[in-house]
Amino acid sequence: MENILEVKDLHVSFQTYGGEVKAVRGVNFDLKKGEAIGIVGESGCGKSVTAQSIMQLLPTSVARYKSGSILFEGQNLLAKTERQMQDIRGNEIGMIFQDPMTSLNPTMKIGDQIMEGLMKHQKLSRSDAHKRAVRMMELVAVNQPEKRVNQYPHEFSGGMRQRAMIAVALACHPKILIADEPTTALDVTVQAQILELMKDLQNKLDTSIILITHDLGVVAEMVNRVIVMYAGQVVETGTVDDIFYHSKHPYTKGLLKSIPRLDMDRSRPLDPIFGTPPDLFTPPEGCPFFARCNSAMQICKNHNPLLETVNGQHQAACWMNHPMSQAAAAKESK
Amino acid sequence: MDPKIKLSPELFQPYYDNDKDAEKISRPSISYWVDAWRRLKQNKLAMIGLVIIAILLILAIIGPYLNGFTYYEQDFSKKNLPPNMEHWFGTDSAGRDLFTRAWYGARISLFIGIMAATFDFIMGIIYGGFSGLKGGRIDTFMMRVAEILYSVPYLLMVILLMVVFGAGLWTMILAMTITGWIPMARLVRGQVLQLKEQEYVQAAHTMGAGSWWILKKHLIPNTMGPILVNITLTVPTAIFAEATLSFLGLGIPAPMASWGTMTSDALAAFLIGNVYQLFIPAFLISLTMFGFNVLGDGLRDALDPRLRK
Amino acid sequence: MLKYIGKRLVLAILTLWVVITVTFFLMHAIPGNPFAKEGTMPQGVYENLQRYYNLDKPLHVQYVMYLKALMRLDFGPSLKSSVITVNDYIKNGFPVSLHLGLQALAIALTFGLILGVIAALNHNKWPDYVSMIVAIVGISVPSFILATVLINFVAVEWKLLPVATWKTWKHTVLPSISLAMMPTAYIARLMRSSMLEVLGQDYIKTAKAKGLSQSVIVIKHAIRNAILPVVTVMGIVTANLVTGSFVIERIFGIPGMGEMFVKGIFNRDYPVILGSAVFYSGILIFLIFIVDISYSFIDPRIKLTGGGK
Repeated sequence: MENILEVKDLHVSFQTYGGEVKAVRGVNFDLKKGEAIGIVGESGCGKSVTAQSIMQLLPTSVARYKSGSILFEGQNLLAKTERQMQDIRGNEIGMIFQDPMTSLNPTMKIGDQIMEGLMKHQKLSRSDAHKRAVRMMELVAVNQPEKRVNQYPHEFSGGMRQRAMIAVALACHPKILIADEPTTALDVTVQAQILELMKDLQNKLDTSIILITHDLGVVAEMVNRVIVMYAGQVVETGTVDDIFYHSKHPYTKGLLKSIPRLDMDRSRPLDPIFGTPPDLFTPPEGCPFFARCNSAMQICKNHNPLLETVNGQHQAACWMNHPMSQAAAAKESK
Repeated sequence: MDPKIKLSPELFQPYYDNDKDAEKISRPSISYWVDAWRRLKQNKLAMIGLVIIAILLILAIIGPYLNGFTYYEQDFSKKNLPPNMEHWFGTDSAGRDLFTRAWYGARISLFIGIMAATFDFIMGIIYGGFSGLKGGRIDTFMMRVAEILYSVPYLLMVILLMVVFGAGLWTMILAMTITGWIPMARLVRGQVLQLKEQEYVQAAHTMGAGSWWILKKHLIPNTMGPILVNITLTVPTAIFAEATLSFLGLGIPAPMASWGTMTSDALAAFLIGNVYQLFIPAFLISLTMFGFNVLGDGLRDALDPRLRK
Repeated sequence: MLKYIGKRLVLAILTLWVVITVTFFLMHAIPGNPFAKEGTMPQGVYENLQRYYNLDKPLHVQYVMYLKALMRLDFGPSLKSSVITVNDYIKNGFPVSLHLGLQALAIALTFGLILGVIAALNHNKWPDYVSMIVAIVGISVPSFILATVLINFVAVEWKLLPVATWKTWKHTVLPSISLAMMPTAYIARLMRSSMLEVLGQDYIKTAKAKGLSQSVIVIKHAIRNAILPVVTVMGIVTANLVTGSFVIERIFGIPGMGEMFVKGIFNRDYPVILGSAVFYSGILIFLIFIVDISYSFIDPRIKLTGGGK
């Protein structure tokens, strides 16, 4: 299948008082038509920045796209003007955000917020847009949509707001939906419903989805492929199966081990990853995970490993996958 | 992979350095007040305000003694003089030295401003703190009372009180405090209520922090910010109110001088062309207002930890 | 909704009652007799006057009588004139003050909002700095100083606009500008910070993610929300306009309520002071009430909660 989106060697920095924060440092990935991928990592790893770069929503006063390209259907989004981007945002690529409580305009009716994009991109009349808004509300399974479109966000519960938010983002049937931590702010039961809804809509509308989350559980349910990010770089990528059962990066393994599981021995404490990610003002020269890694080797201190194919789609950036490391390990065990 | 690296088996030996220090936090943590001061220093406008206030305070203290005249001594042979070598700011219609009067007026005006702010602060802490700590019905009742008093027009009440009690320094301060403490009380009460609920305070308790630690690390930094800003902005409000009252003829009685009474006195001279008599107090009032306002704004920005970068 | 309006109304009436009561007893607490300074008044005339003004009755009786009169909107007679009542003063003065106040309010809102929005949209760029310097100068220069300067240059030196009295619209320009300066600056600063806060909200990002243009985002999403805090302070702003008009009316010789109030103070004409203070407070409390109610219409979140802010 063809790639609808290709991110190539993306570098994004922020200018702050303290200096330049290199938030994204050479990220590569692609998204196929109708596919759902997940970008996983802890806070500050650059996953949200990557997502917002695609939409170019980062504040222009501080954010700088240092190098790289983001190809949407072959066109570089980073080269587009603000006006050209406006025709893509909401129309070709939709986005939903983490906190449904604050992502909707509190002084505007839900229906109007859904209609705005339709009237702008599809040039619908007010009444047609209104009909579409009602249909969208139906589609995201909101009860009494005719009544609900005339209500304000504060009259909606958290889960309902996120449904409305999805309706806003999908109103123009965009080809890609970027969901930035769409379930983090919600109750667990509501989380499952929202994920179910997104999966359902993905099939109905044939939308490609980029799901950004720190929750590996959410990823397992939703996506085909997973991208694990750490300190502004992709450290491992592969199918859900590759990542969950054949992980080749100690960071991914650590993430998996730190999830509490029902079948776990309860007397055993959780297994967190100690320490904090490196300071991105001055990213380390070597592997960014070096300082927290239990399997660190001499080489890791000063040399940053590149993404290497493990097999098929599975890639990882770790020196342990290098033949010489395996040879050394083999010798050690003898 | 970087082709320049010479890969050797040694590089793939485990790294056993205990200095890896994964728990290290890369940048030193900065204490709240140091950080606030650092940010205030970066704000040029606020620093200008601070310097202006400092200079005005110093001159208010030493200014009246600098050229040997007194603020009340009249010399009718030297009326309405423009600024000259002897009278640096000139003289007024009663032949009084305006330089001395300007800094004497600074004392009165600044004194009124600072006193009003101090009393507002004390009243506000007592009333607002009590209301917030008690909570419940008492709190509701006390805040209703405050709300009602707050709806009473400020300057109107001050004027009425001045009419009733007669003009004077302390009546003016009293009049301003009677009407001025409510915003401070509301602020303090809001802060207290918020703090009682704050999860970080509870979190600190559960983590075994002592009361003094909580007070020092959490309560004071989080409450003092808005209060300090409010104090800073009360001073110019009071100075302004004093000037307005004096202008309406309800100010400090002669021969005492404040910037307000000087402005009011100078109005007649202004209309016959002695511009400088009005200019001096008007400029000083504006300068003071400017200084306190920009400092207050700067403090607000500096003390708001949400802006911490 | 009705419950909310009812609650506000009760509060407004209560406030008005407090003001009336406080003002009434304050006025009667002034030592000495209002007629005493007329000097050698024959005993019979004095007693007649006392009876005419009900000053011979016990204070609480006078208070009840005054309240009853107020219910009929009767503010009582003036002490200084036997023919003109306080009602006449209000009837003549209020339309003029209202005209001045509304004009100043319109100026303040228009320019304050524009300045605030421009500053916020160009945060930390030169339009921001220019707007905020204008705003800081605006709150630093007292209105009576600005008024005097404007009179001196615009009216006297350059003869561009007439001043004194209140005849053509040209007469209204300078007083309106002088009066509007302070609230303009205040609204500009408030609007700026409110806009900045709103522009940082998630829903602005949502609007942007919908592909809306910058102008639609600013007008439909940002300003609509940012203006809410400005609406809440409109009551206070109006109060400042009203009290500010005391000074402005006096300087420009405008025959409004403020001028009447100030004259009342100079003449120690207590019924006039009392009457105008009560009238002023009534107007202000009414305005604040209106602002509160209209706020609940502008902000959809208030309707359901029935009162919380």
